[in-house]
Amino acid sequence: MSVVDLHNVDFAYTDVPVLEDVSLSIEPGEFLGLVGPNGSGKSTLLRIALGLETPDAGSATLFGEPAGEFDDGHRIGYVAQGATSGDRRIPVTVREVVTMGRFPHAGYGRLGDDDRAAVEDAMATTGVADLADRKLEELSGGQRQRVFIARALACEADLLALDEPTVGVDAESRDAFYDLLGELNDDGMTIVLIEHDIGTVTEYATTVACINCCVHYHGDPEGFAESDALADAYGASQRMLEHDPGHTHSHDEEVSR
Amino acid sequence: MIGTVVEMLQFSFMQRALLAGLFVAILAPLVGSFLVYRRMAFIGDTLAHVAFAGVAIGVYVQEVLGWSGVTPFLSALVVAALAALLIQFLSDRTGAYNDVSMAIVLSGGFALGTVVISLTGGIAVSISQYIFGSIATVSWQHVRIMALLTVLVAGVVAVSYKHLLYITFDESAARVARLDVDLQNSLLVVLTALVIVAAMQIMGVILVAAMLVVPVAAAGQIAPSFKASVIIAIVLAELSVFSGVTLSYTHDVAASGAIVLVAIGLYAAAAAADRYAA
Repeated sequence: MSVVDLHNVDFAYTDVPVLEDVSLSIEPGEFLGLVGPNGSGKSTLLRIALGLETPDAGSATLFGEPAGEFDDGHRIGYVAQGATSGDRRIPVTVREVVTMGRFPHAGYGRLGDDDRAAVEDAMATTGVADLADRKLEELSGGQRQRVFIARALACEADLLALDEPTVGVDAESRDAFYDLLGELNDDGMTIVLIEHDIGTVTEYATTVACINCCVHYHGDPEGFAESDALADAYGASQRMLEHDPGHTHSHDEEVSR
Repeated sequence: MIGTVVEMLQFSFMQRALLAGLFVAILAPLVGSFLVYRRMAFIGDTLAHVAFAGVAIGVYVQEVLGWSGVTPFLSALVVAALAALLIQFLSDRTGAYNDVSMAIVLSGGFALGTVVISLTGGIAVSISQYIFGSIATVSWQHVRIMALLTVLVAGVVAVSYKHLLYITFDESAARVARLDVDLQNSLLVVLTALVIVAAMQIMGVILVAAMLVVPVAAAGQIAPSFKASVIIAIVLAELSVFSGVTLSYTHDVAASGAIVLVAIGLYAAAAAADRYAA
């Protein structure tokens, strides 16, 4: 059973299509790198896959269930676009954030010892245990990302969905972060990653999908480098920019809540 | 100082005022803590101005139509709760707490209030009590309602704390985690409407929202964790109410204004302490 299965998905916020006839599946254990130019619909595609948006046509399933009806929230760890940027001041500690990963398990009930143990384990795995009582806003961008990954681990997620998690992070922390993702993937975690840096994606991901409204490439990273998909996808947006400036605004930015 | 407080508390109306104020200081930061960090601070002001329309409607119904069952308090509660749900609905549709639509609802509510008042005519005194707040007119009935409300709101926040915290911090992730975000958001805005209306008689339409925002903002400067920030906000609010009510007694000044000024003073002190520590 596929973790994510999108079948002939169309989607638009206004009358400008964001996604057209997109079919894409993610298998258990896969590390999918999702690339495409600004406003290509990557974030929207991820939001549809996670059941946050409903496709206008076509279907989206998550672990075999319609994405909108799927209710095993603890199986997904999601880091939204801009979530790690730290531009919001809220006095939460690292432990408070990671503990949120246990909330779908606990519901309205109290957290137990096993919940607290899972939180400590997750912080140890991602190397933020010594920051547990520090406030998130005091951390560097690289440390903050690790906290969000720890939250997904505490949740015991089967699918990690990351929307440009390394924006504004120095190169060294980025490499360490992707090494961590690689290790988690080696241990069987299914990962879908939206990333600007195509070099990073082809290095770490096991499959690559290149989209710009429709799917331009879906396959292994080696084939992607040799294909014309990149020029197709990015070139298409270039042409759109020249001919129709009214259609070039980013839908990714429009939906970031 | 202690002598003054003892003297003040010999007056029954000051006892009622202080008690009601101390309940406000628990209620307001309890809901405010989940509003301020989501840039929803403005919703308190909006609901207060809409509740004013509710008060005016209640007065009109009582004075002009002669239906004594509809009190201004009750009509304010209903109107504010409906407005809260409307704002929530609009924000769900547009994906943001839009400050323009909020400003329109705010001024629309107040405008409706003034028009309805002018239709009623000649009852300016009881209206100004709602606009500027009054501690002299707090009844034991009102204190009992505040006590009940405090138990209710504290209970709801305790049960929903995990959900509210997750949504406040990261609403998209909370949705993906399949927490009931829409239910919690509706619950939060309706609780906010309840708190605003309950506190309005003491704090006044114009200043009531300050109690939701200022102590929370002050606590956010110095709190070591979110949970601590909620507790610190309540402590700072209690301090503001106690000092403000006492100042209003000793210097014969408006209690609501004194409470908010003390709260802002505490905010400034907290901000300075945060800078100094950094």
